[in-house]
Amino acid sequence: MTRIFAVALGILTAIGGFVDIGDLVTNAVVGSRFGLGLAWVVVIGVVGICVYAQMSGRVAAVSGRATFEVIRERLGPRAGLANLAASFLITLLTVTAEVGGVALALQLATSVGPGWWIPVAAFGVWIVVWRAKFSLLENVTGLLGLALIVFAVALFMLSPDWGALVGQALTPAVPDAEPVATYWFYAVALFGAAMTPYEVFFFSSGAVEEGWTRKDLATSRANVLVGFPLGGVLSIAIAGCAAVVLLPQSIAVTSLSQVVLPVAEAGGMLALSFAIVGILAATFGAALETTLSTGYTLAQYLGWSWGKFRRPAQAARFHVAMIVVLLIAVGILATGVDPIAVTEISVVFSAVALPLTYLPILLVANDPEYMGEHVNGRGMNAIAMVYLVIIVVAALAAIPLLVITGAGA
Amino acid sequence: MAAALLLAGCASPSDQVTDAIDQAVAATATARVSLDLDERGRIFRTTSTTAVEDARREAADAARTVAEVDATEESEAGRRAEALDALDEAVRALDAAVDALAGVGDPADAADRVAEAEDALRALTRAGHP
Repeated sequence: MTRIFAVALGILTAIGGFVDIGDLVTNAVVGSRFGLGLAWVVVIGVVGICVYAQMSGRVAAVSGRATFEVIRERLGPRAGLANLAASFLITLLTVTAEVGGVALALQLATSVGPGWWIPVAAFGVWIVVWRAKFSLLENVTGLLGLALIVFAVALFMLSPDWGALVGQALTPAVPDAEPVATYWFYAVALFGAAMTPYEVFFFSSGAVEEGWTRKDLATSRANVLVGFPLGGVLSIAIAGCAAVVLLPQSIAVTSLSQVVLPVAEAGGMLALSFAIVGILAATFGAALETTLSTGYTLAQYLGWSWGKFRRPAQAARFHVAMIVVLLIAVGILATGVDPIAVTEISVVFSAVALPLTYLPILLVANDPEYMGEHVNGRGMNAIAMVYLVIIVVAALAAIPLLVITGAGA
Repeated sequence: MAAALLLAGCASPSDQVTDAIDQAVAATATARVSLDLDERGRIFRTTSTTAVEDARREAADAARTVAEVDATEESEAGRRAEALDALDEAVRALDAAVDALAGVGDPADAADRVAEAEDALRALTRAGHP
């Protein structure tokens, strides 16, 4: 019974924790401009994150060590440094976007400008990272994030033309008003949002935090293979809501306040309450995860003592690194930069960093010295190789598309 | 990013005006939807205020962009002038909407004004895309 509860809780938190500010904004922008014409990218991205997250979870459960520790040892300090630089800088950008997202969500509830909420949000993240148990912070934000299901409910309540929506999803086409390059720019951005590097580092470090062993491999697979796809359904529902309400009125999403309008239209204040709670939980949860991920990656590369399972005094450099990251994030946001713009840039640069993040995981998962009998099978390697090609193509295309389209303008 | 901004800055004057009008159409439509939801009691006042304030910022940004466009032909100068008139009216209508949500002025009147500003901008959009 306890095991069933643990599996169910893991799945629910994986669903609630799947969506972050990058998914929210990018799916809403795409829905408001392309309808469900890019839903196929979400499907590809979700399968990709499932493949690599369960791989990194397996590495952690079998070796008892987080992915980054093994990468540095297996590939050496130079390759490890390239991996660290790419993933750390992208995750720092993502921390900034998530803290900004928390501030924007609080603005929706209070109409007080985000500038006032940014320090509060960062302090809240720090105090939770400092004081709360790992399982508590993961479960509470994940379960509250389930409130985002209201987007799926709202989509049904809006009574859309399902034939048209399914048609957009199954026969994707570039709308007449949008350049082809912009369509592909958002395809890369959506892919980057779904496969954000911090997710795998957090997943594998979390496995060590929670003391996973080989016995937990089935639970790990269930969390990933059930939870993440259902999280992907939420992403498509967000795009669907924007496609039904905003696209016909030529409202291209540029702010978080526009994202919730379809929910209010469908279900009034009650539904809107769920949406705001869900967005707050999703962004706050992701802010916690990204902040922890920066600490994990730095500490694991540099060989520092790390982890929430230790008292802060026993992992002092790990905690100081996270405080510095939060201060940098606040500093960036204090310049007045739009958190939504930071989010859009972070998901594109996530795509650029993907090969440096995912190739080492694939190499380690194939090393019998670490994995023993749990090395990747042929089927898994075939899928992973296909994804590696997609990841490299997306990484190479990201910057040229950013330049050609003027960041999707 | 710098390259992207550079490239965006290299768009033709006509394209810059068209993009700015599209941006303002989205902003006024957002405000119209928000005010409508507010009138029907389907949205928190805090959320509708945030949405309309965001819309005003977008419209003001669009107006600033058009004001800084250097026309190279007579027809471009004429279109820029038309766009500036419509954008200025949109910003004023959105000012009125923000005030109305704060209790200064009638929200219904503000909603009408926003809808008129949106119509004027949409007419310009059609004129720009024969």
